[in-house]
Amino acid sequence: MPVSKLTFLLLSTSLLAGLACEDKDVIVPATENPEDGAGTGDPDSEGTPVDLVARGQYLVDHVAACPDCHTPRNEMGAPIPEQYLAGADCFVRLPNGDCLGSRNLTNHETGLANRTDAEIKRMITDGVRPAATGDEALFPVMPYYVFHNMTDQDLDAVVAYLRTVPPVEHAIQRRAAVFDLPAPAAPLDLSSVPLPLPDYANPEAAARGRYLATQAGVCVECHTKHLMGDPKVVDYASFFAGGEEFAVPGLPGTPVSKNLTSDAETGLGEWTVDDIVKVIKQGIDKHGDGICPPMPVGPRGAFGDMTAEDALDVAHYIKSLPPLVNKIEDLCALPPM
Amino acid sequence: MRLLPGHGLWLVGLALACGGEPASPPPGPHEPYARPEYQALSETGLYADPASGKLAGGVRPFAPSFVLWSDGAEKQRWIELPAGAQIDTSDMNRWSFPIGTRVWKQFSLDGTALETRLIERYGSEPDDYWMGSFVWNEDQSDALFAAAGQEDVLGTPHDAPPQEKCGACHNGEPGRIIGFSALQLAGDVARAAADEQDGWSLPRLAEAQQLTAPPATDSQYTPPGDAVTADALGYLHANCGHCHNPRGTSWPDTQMVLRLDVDSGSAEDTRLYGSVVGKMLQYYRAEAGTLRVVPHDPENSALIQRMQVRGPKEQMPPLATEEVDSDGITKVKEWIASLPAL
Repeated sequence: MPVSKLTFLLLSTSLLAGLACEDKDVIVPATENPEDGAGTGDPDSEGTPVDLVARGQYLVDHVAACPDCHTPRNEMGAPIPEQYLAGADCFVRLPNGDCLGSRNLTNHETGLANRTDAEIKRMITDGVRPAATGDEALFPVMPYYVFHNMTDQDLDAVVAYLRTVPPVEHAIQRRAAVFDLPAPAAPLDLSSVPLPLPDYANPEAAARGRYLATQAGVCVECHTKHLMGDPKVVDYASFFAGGEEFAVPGLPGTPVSKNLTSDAETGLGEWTVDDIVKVIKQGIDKHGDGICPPMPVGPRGAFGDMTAEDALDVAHYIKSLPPLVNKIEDLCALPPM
Repeated sequence: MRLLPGHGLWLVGLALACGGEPASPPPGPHEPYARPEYQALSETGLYADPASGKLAGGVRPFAPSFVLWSDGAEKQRWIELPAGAQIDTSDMNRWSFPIGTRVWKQFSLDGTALETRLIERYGSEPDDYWMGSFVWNEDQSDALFAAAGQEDVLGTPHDAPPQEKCGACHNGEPGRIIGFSALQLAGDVARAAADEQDGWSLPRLAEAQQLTAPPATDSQYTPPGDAVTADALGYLHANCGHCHNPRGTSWPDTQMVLRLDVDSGSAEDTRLYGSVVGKMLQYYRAEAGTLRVVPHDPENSALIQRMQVRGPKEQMPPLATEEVDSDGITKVKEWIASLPAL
């Protein structure tokens, strides 16, 4: 089945932005480490992370936003804390009732407890899961094609943190056959992902932000139009131009991901870096309106606890994006905050 | 079946050894070493003389009582336990092998060696195992490491698996080695082979003080039940249990246990019996109401249906076989037919 907005019925991931280099091994880390040591992670004198697990937790919870999809929710749509990362039985539900679950990532035998580090990394970055009938291609609602370009060090950190997640017994039912794929989606081609405009004032920050938005995080996934059935998943001609629809139960309208490029009329060309940081950290746009879910921003969203430095870097990358004209109808609006 | 009194002589030997000169040195430190980078089987320590095929000194053969179906290939197995080291058998169901342990399994057809697989523990971390396959050359002088595997080795239907696939079966066992276990080495087949070839069986391992915790005299080390039941349970253990257990690849998808533990009581007490007999399917897409095992009705049991599939992903086992094991299916059918109907 091709990727479509239907597959995102209950999806609530995303993040904002970044810029960087073509080689994932030459990513520029953030200049400041957060107080809890979990931010971009200054290496120590040996070149190893100060705290691998803390870095992994930060990435999982506030950059890759894994719990948004992998923590089941109650009837009100709120995550169930005691089932943190235990997987959702029917994360995507098609109108005919067919379900696609999100996997249990906890340290229980029904989760990742008996997967090797290599197997976990292969799931995260290549979309291949060892299933009961051999290797299984993950459906690309899971943005493994984005995480494919995560640095090895960050991938180690994510795995190190997942090893510490308390076990929750929760077997996820087999996905409906309609979600079966012959092969995983193709990794995101970083050489096609926008670089900052040549004259952008803060290229270093934008480069760091590019990594957060397109390699370790998933801004690029939701803010780029998806192509039905294309192995590349997203439209390489319209990176960050928005237009992806999300059906979120309980909302009066259908949220559509915004055009984040620097086009003055249809994108964020008139926004400042601080305006974008305010969205990430406070969940409020430059007009004072709230941000519709599934964008997980603000104090109660995954990205609200992104470090100030990383949020600023992401904002710089967004400000540096080349303009693309794509007017997005605002189909969901929350009242002024 | 329990260990017969006559088979407990090795325990007497063990007791004697404890009171006198040790039969082998006490376990010594075996430090981790760099992950091997083998290119040929002749580099792995299997042979003292690769040209003649003479085995190296510490290499001993063994034969499990219940074998994995490999499309009719003949198989030989050898293990080298590092000198002075013991197998940690504090959990008799999950042996932990000392660093430096190597185990080989060789596949042949009509006397021609096709492939030899190696598992070697080189470190103390959970994933510090080298696993890979060597494919024999035409003149049978050596076998070369085949990282990507090789299909139709030497013009036969036999396929050598790629290295990346090793974990699909072996990662479900913490010690990675599947066929060298208490349950596999306690039975008549394993003991007879060890006696004939001066190899390893459970009694011989205990007698040589190769086990940190020797087997208890009153323990049950072979599959329970009558001959039909024991044969079927042993077959399922050897052919399915490495994935279908709480550490196995299939566990997140289907909580079915096809692995046997020692001391599991009667056949009806085993987790294998409890998770298949009269139990609904969980993962396999079949008609609603299908049971894994329908007592007394093998033809309508999904377990048998899956064993009869080859080609599509639904085949079981999913790897390393292209032909149905009709003898094995017969064993399992006979057991199911012997179960009282619901």
